[in-house]
Amino acid sequence: MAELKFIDVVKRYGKTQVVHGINLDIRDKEFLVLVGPSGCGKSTLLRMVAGLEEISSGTISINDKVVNDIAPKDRGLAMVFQNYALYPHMNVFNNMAFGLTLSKTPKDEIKQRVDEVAVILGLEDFLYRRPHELSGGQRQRVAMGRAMVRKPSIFLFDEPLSNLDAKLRIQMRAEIKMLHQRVNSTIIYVTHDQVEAMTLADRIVVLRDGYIEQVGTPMELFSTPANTFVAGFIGTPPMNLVECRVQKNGDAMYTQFESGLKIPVPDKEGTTLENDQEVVLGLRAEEITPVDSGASLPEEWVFSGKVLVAEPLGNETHLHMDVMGVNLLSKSEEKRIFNPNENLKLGMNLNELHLFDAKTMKVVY
Amino acid sequence: MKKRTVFFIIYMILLMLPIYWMLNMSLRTNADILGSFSLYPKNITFANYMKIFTDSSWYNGYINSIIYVTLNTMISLVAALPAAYAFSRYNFIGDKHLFFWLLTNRMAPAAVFLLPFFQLYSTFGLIDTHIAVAMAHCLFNVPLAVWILEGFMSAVPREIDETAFIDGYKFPRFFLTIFVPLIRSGIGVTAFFCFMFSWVELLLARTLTTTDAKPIAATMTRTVSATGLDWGLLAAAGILTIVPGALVIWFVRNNLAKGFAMGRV
Repeated sequence: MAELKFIDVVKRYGKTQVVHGINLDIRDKEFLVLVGPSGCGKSTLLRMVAGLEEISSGTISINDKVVNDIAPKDRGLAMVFQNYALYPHMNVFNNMAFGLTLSKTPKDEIKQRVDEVAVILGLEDFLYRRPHELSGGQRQRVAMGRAMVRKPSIFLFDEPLSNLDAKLRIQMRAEIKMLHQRVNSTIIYVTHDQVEAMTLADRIVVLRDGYIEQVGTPMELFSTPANTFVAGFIGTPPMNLVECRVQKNGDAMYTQFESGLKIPVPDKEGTTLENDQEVVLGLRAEEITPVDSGASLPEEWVFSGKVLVAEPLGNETHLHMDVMGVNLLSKSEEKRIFNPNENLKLGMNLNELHLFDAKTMKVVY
Repeated sequence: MKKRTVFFIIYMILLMLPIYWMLNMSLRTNADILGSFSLYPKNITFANYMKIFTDSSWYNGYINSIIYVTLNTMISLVAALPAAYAFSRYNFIGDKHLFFWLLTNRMAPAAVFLLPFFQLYSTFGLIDTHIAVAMAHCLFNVPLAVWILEGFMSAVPREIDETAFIDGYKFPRFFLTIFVPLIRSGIGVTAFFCFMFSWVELLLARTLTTTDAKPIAATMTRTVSATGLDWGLLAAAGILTIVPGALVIWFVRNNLAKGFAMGRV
């Protein structure tokens, strides 16, 4: 049982401010992911929760108790680091048990708890090995096990999968998700990998330069990004973002590109676009697909384009298209080979169109 | 034979020759040494060694040296461990300058400190005590120890400390049960260097002692007398001074290799 509340949390190193007034509520048993490019303050934020960094101003509370001046060990949390931070001179059992011996847990209970966790993580056969005799994935499991035996109310993960190879990362990702379902603790997870964020999180906090850009469920961030940064950061491949101008012609509205391309903007309630407003158009690659002539889309949503580069991935092909002088990324699930310079008809699902103001970069449509 | 092997053998011969010659001399009488040239001792005698082991003024030299060297190594390590931890883990005003200043102590010639030390220790009545020599050598060994240990400590990830603090370790317990074992090889290497410096240092050790704490190096100068040099005895004493160093190297050889691999040594 642990709820966290950040109120105007600021972190300064000397005169440089790296975290600027973060306000955030984290619910009990929530899996919250802090994501952002390096240097965005996500790790600093996590370390402030852990008590490893001082909070320059503002407060962090756990269960309505301000923890600014409470020692790390009394905050009821456990942390897993990117480089595992295992004690190399102790075997796996002792690595996991050591935190418990401090709290004077009886010996048989320590053994029982460690064995229990070892079974969950599949470490039974490795309990008496030293960390250097384990593979990267096993070490990461030991680090997680060490956190789990303490039965903390909050788990903190600081880029725990960054040192693993791609295949292992996918496997461990699933294990962390299972761990969350099993332990019923609040988890705060820091990563720079948006795929990890999307797959793991109940809610994602996107950070940039010490500011929160957007908070929401993975689906919310994906389908309604608040600004161009989130739009470009979440989703693979990244969303097409192209500068253009809004043109109004009676009731009809469209976006005019410098090259002459015009893309219609469907009517939507509550939008306040001005004529000639400079905007950034955002449309995901999966909403731009090659279509046959008899497609179900309105005729003005179909454009002709030329293939610049085709990137086959097996299940799908990413197509870098030249659509009347505008470079757009499109995605096809057709299993065939696309040739460069091939002319295609592209259908755009403009119901999923996003427009962002060119100056503020905030969503306007 | 490969070129490398040839060079290695030549190098080893050049390295071992003086030591062999000392061993050779230590097993011969003075008359024999001065009388004839011989690549190996023809009439082996242990008289030189017997003199050292039976004459208390000789063997006490070794005991005194070992006492102050051990004292010095322990003091240096106890002082340098926390200092090196602070340098490796914390940022404070002037930390880099302080670190460099410590090293400059190591660069200064011992003779510079001779007079002040002599006066200081006389005032406190510490002349001719083991602790006086041990403390004087700290001036050189503590900076060296801080320098070496800092390198080893910085190689330990900070997250180890942080995990321990989240786990609820108090600092002293963390330091002794987790951190010190992690830099074991560093401590071994440091102890070795402190030992070696203190063991061979003559100037300070000789000036600060008269009889009760007189080191072996000073005792060895006694072999020069009006009747000439006692070659055999000097060589035997020399061989015996190599022994403790060789033993220490034997014990820390694995750590030493690790230490060299990690740099900073």
